[in-house]
Amino acid sequence: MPTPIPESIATTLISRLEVITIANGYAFNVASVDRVNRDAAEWTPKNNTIAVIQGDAARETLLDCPGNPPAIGWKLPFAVVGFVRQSDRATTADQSKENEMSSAIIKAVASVSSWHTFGGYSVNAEIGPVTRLPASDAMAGVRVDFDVHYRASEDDPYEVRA
Amino acid sequence: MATRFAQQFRRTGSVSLMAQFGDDVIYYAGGVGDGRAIKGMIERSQSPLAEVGEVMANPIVIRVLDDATTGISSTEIDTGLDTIGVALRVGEDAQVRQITRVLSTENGLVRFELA
Repeated sequence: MPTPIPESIATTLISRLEVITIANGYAFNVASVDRVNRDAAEWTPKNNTIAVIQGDAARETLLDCPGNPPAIGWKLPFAVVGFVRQSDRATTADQSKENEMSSAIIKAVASVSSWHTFGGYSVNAEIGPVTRLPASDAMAGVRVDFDVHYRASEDDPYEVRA
Repeated sequence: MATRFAQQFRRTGSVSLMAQFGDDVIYYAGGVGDGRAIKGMIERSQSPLAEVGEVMANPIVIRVLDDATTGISSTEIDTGLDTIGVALRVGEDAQVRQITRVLSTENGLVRFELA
């Protein structure tokens, strides 16, 4: 059974985030890269955990191309949330670790050649805003947004169109 | 300095409560190692799934004795790194969950939240 295009993009994104390790030149080892299910049973926000949240796909008519079948454009947003949990006794500012997290996320995703195609599944991609998680005594971290633009056949969401 | 009630409850009340209602959990200091088997009063399903850093999480609240051997000392617990092995549902295998915040350290009990 073919893989839906959004799924292929998501798994490509996740595989890129999984290379965040000290051995690969990053400041930390990613603990895990997760997509959290409805019951959140398999996930816990440990330090250096990254969660990938797929947003709502929206039609992008400017990317449409005529044909038989026509190719229709989509914008697929992803929120990549990196969690920072230092020891209560740590002296380093959380914001310093958050900066390391956001930079690592961006580099891991975008340092691949033609990164914006996500392995040939998309035509363009953009790095969105970087926002800190809302102030809380329970959690620190950052959210990095990515918008991925792709085309699919109008009658076959599994068929990539250039 | 703790109140007289707190001192007395710590000696008797909290110990009795734990004996009656304590369940098996594993405390992993720093989130590493083999962990320490302790008893904890587990409050499951007290809250619906909550958003934690824009991700849904399954919060659980646990109370343990404020003791470095039989529970978790209030001066030892580290909400940044410590984890707990606990069953999300009664009868299930334990899963390791992150301690996210300390809710109370009164009267000989340390009450904290997991996600």
